[in-house]
Amino acid sequence: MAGTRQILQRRSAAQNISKVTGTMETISSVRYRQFFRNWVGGLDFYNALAQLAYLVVTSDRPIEHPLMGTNESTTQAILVTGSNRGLCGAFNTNLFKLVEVHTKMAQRFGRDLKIYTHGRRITHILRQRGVNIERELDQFEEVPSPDQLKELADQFTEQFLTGQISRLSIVYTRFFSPASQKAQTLAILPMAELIDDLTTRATVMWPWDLTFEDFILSPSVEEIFDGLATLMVQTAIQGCFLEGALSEHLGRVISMRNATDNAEEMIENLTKEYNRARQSQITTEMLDIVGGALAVTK
Amino acid sequence: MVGFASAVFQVQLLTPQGKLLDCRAGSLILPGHDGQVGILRNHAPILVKLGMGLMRVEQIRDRTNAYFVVNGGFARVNNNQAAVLAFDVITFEGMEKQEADKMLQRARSVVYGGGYIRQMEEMDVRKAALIVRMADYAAMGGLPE
Repeated sequence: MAGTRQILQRRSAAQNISKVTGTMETISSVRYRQFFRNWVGGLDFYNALAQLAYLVVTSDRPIEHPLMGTNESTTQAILVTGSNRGLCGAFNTNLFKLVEVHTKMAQRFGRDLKIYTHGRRITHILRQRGVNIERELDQFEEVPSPDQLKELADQFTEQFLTGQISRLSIVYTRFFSPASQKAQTLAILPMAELIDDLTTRATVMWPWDLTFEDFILSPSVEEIFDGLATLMVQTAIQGCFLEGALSEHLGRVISMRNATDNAEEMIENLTKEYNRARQSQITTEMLDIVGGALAVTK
Repeated sequence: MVGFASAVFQVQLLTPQGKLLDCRAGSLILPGHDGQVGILRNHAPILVKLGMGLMRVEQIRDRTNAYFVVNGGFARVNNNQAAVLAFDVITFEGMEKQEADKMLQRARSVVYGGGYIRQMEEMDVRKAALIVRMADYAAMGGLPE
């Protein structure tokens, strides 16, 4: 049995761990609530945008737009949105597994893959496994600002329009609800798939409540679609980052809560063990004293 | 100015950060891509692309007029419901007075020249001018007669 000093040391280590994990849980739960408010607040926007896109693309006259079609390039781009910090459960590992599927698929079909990452952890994991990273996006912490988002969307759109890439997908953790998150891939470009995804989301109520009628369009439908496409690409990219951040913080809250609970259980057990060891030490000492006293009296 | 109009319609301003406005108003003036667009009750269904400008929501039930600087987006009006979708919106709504004053001061310094070059990178001059105009409207309680 370990001595009382060792038990005390272990208990104090467990207490420190519990303090750290407790603090991390609190920080992450505050951040989670902030992001959750943003996410809930943005749902109406996504819904309205999806309805608008649906109205425009299902008009009598089919829309011909370069962002809707495919191009000849054999290069595809994927953007992986991971986390900067660890200790958030299997968040980054799940993303990595999905990236691995993409790299294998690309190899099988003879395609090149340009991988863009956001988040130090996922970049580190990918580099460790020998995955070639085109660029790490580190100019923002979790969710890009409108200006950064515009720049990012413009870069990818230009690459698509100039034929450098034939597809842009985002590998992110989708936040369905606080009880369900899943790593998945969302195709952003070409836009047909994005519209399909936006209009079939579980969070979007429709299209049964939509009334189809003739609209006055200002400017022409092509120009409207052009602006709509930019807005949709930006919104979708932002949505992915936001949902990723939400899932990360929720993952961390859960992991840290479990870690704190485990540490507290350990502290409780160590306290019991310490008391037992102390008691037995006292008993031994008393026996020694009694034995010594008896020896003297005899 | 609190609205008195009886012919009202639903106005919503939606951004990815949340719903900035959801009310019944008598008049909506939007910064269209090619000029201002005025919407009243029973407007024909319209889908319009927005440019940069001031969005004015007036004659709102139970509250004062609302002003927003909008930079691009879309507005869809049908069935007496106007939904404005915008990515980049600046407003004094829900802002602390101190914060609003600071923003206005910065905008004024851009518009009227103080620290012009230093501020150029931080704030678009046109946007600053719109913020100053928005503040003027808000202070007057509406448009000058």
